[in-house]
Amino acid sequence: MSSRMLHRDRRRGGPILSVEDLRTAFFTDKETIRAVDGASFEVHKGETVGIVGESGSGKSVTARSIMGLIESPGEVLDGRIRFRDRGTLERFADSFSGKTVDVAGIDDDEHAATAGNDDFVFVEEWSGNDPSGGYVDVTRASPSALRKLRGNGIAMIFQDPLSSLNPVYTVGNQIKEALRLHQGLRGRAATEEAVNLLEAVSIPDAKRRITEYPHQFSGGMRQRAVIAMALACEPEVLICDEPTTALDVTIQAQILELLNGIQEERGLAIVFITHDMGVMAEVADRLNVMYAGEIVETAPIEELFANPKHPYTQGLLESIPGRHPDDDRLRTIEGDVPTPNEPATDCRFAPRCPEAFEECEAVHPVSVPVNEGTNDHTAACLLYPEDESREAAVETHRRRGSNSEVSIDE
Amino acid sequence: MSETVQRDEESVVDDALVEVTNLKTYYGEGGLLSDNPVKAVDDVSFGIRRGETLGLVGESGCGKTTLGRTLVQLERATAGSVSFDGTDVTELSGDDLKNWRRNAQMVFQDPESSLNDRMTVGEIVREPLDVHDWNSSRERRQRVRELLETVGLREEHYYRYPHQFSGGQRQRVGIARALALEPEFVVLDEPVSALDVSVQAKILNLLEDLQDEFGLTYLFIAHDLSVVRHICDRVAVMYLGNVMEVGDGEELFDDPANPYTHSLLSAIPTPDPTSQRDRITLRGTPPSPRDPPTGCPFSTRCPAKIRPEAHADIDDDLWERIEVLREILRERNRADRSLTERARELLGMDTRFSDIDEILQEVFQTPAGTDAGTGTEGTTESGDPLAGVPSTVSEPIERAAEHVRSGEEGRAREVLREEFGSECDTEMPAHHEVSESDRTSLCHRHKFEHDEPSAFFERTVFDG
Repeated sequence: MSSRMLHRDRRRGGPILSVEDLRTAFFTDKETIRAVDGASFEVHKGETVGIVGESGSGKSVTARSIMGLIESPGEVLDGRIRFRDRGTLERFADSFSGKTVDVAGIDDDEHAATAGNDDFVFVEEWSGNDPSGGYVDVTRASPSALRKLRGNGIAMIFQDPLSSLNPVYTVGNQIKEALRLHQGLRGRAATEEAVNLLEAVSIPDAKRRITEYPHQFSGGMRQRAVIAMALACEPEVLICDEPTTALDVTIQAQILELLNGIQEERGLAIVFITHDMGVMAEVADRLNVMYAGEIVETAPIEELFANPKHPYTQGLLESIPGRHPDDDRLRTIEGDVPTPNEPATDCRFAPRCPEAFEECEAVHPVSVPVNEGTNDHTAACLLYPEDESREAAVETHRRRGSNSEVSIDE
Repeated sequence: MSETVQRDEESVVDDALVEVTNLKTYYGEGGLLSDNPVKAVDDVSFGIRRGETLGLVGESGCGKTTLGRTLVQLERATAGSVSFDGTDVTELSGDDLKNWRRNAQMVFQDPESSLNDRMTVGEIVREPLDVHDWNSSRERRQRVRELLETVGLREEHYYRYPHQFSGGQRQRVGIARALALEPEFVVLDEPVSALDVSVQAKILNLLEDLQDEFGLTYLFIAHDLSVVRHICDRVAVMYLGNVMEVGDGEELFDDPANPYTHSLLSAIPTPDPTSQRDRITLRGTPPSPRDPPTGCPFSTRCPAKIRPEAHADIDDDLWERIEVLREILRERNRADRSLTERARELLGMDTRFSDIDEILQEVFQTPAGTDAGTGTEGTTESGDPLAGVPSTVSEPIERAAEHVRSGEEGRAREVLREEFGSECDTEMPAHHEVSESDRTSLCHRHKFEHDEPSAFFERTVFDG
């Protein structure tokens, strides 16, 4: 029994992870699917950033891009994923010294031009001979570097715990494998640490449990074991891709509570992906709404629920049963989510949008603050900034859109 | 609109279309090697009124799908009866059963696997008509076209294949198939769980429209309680094969009577980030339906469990720890032992099952986490895990531990049950009527000598 924690001001320091203009596409014989098409967001230490959207909106692909898990026919085409963690930076500058580039004093936009093709460790500050500030660009990292980064820096837990566990090894073995690879622990020490980790994720009788196989665990217990494995690597950022979708509500409550406790304790940054607005309201500090590969609205969670600005966000919130208890019928959004297979030249939501006007089909909206007073609530919609006249707003979008136009060679 | 017919609460129980009495469905019974059967549905009684939507909610594995399947005779009932319009359908067989099946249809959860990918949509929807030899084939085709339109698809979809459709459209095909024979009763088994919110809203609206148009009676199985609240007139809450509470939907959601309903409702995340609701988080997972608790099915996890007189005053944190210890011992009983372990045990060697002292250490010595217990712990780093625990508590635990050490875990569980158990552990509670609208709840706390569950929660969880 415990009460709900309120999540405010958990942000500490600058962003530990920043995704900028990420574009990930899948090339098929028929078409190119732009699963993620220009997504940008930041994650700070100790906070939970949510990504919400319907199936096919690109949330999972975003997560996989951050983990460097995109495989052929998919490809990260463009954008930067910068992971700023001093420990990781030091380790990487050390073990990949040939791929480290000194960008101290160089303007942010010039970093990529300064670096060689294979370089992916960017050092911005030095203290003596040691790097003290900088980042690792995940999109440029080599496969061997990615392997080091996954787990140690950034860990991920997936929707279906059974498919992330190997059925023929005991749970203990799998946790110990993670401990061996990432912390170099072996034998008795590894076993002890594995027991501690299972206890940390509230699995009772942990000593016996580590000798059991995944099929002997219940669904919630499996997800706990997967979380324990993720923690074995002591990550700084934890990406949770629908971690509770396959679980019952009572178990979901347990897992959410567990994640919250772990975050408080270790100052983890969490990227939380779900399509369940209720869960989102519970866990997230900031929320990004994705639609057809783009982030259409970003705001602190309370603000987003209280004042959704993008018509899609409004529609999404309206269609949750129980928002309007007096209405007999549920409100719906007409039409279906399109597959983004062309570069966007218009608003992808326009065909379904109740507020669409003529320019929506001609101008691609970019993310802008929803009004002059705020800078942490942005929406990609021609209606905004709302304190500008419509013509002026459309012009803003047109201008900023053509500046950042990127062509993709196929 | 729906309220005139369906929401009419005047209708009395004798207008029940489906009447379920003491229904049991067990799996894996009979046969030489059978152990305990899985008691998927264990003595369930309720009625579904004509034209209403009864919601059936519960966690996975609680038996709600089995119950739904038994109602439409996709599973054979082990005992009890399902009376449909006065006929006991569990007795039907052969042609009678086939004829009756026209009246009761089912829509399945997963639109990916419930449609045959090698048949066109038209063939899928027509299949029930073919099976029951409905009219001429020209009329059948015509009927399918109508049905496709009814569920919001287009006539030309007749010749397409399921893979050409999205999840929402496939679910519409499943609904059209269920409606083909004009049934009176439809079991909807999680019809929207696999769909996105915005698509889900459309399907729910469609289901409501169809109910109005054809006067259907629904059994709506779901685990998403906000969906159930929206669409259902009455709701039944299932746990471990039993119906814990059944009654008017609005009433049940606003003022739940059963401790399980309380916990379930409080576990749903509210789509409101400013909400500061207190939550009851249940410990552990539901017990195995192969080996349900002897008393109340919910007794192993119940936050409102009645305590025995003798221990009424021990503090909540310690009580929680005792429950955890009992849970661990029960869990061990369930865990299968491998051959090597059995051999080691026979040889008197140390096995993973014998470290009771470590368990005690783990259960009683780990810091209390966020809720600082009062007085009982924090005192010790000494060898005895039970130091600091009042002797009325430590003495029976010590006795139980002794039994575990000598390999008699069964006796240990008994000792703990006798000492810390109450009627919740030993006696199956009765279905008490808890409101004027015939809502019933399965819990000992409704007896007059105890606090009502809601009063109990008011006092312990929500104070301050």
